Amino acid sequence: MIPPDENVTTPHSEDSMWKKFDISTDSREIGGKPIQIVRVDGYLDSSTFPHLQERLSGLIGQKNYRFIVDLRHLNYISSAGLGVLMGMLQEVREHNGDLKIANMSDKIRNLFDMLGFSRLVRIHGTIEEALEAFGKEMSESGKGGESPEDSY
Amino acid sequence: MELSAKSVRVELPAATHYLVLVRQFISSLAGHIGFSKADVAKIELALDEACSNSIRAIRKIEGESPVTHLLLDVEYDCRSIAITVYDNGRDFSRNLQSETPLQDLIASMKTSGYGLQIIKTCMDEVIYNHVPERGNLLRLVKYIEPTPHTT
Repeated sequence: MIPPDENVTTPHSEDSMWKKFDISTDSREIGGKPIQIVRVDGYLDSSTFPHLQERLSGLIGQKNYRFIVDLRHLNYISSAGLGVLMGMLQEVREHNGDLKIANMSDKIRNLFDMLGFSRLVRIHGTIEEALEAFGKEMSESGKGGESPEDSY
Repeated sequence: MELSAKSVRVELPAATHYLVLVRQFISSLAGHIGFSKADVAKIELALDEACSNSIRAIRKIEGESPVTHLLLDVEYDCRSIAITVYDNGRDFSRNLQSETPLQDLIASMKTSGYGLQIIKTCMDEVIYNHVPERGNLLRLVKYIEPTPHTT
């Protein structure tokens, strides 16, 4: 595993009077393959979801298909935010990648459970646990040296 | 906004960045009335989804700078809260009549179209009315669950 990259934060100046929303990304390596860690802070609703969609689309466009979404500081999610995660989940799985969730608060966990999203996505207590799960899955696949499209 | 009254009317520009204020307002009010944390979260989510629908409907008709405001009427007492959301958008009764359970929708991994089913899941009563040339009225009602008796 390599040390985390420097966090990259996207500033959002519009509507900043009330908006408490931020995204930061970080990259780790497992078995020589990058795992993108995306931290979402604040709230994910109809006003903020396009920022997350844009950031994730950019990362997927760079052929990143393994993600851990860190929700430690997310305090609200609506169907708009859920739609972004759902779209991303579909896209990475089409490329034999995966999206795992880490560090959910009880409030967000309850919403995920109520909406049924918990059944579709793998949820881990910490980022380290999610990384470990990626490592285990990659070693079990026995093809860790290939690209996600070929191997995951 | 006046918390001491039994009814409150809130009028906001039809812009999504005001949704955070709507959520803060309704969460505070529902908590004040005595709803559990879980039910406060459901009311917050249902109203957010309702307002998001209305904002989309208003903007479809009026464009990026709508003049129509989002109007919310909230009535409450110690047992219930009823929130009515008004907009001048198109009739969406067909979407509301869908009987597909929310979890089935999620399992199909659609990326949108959950809002109305979320509202129906979160609230005890959902009443919808479309008045031609005036728009939509969506009324959301939630009752406080009685506290179990202890002996």
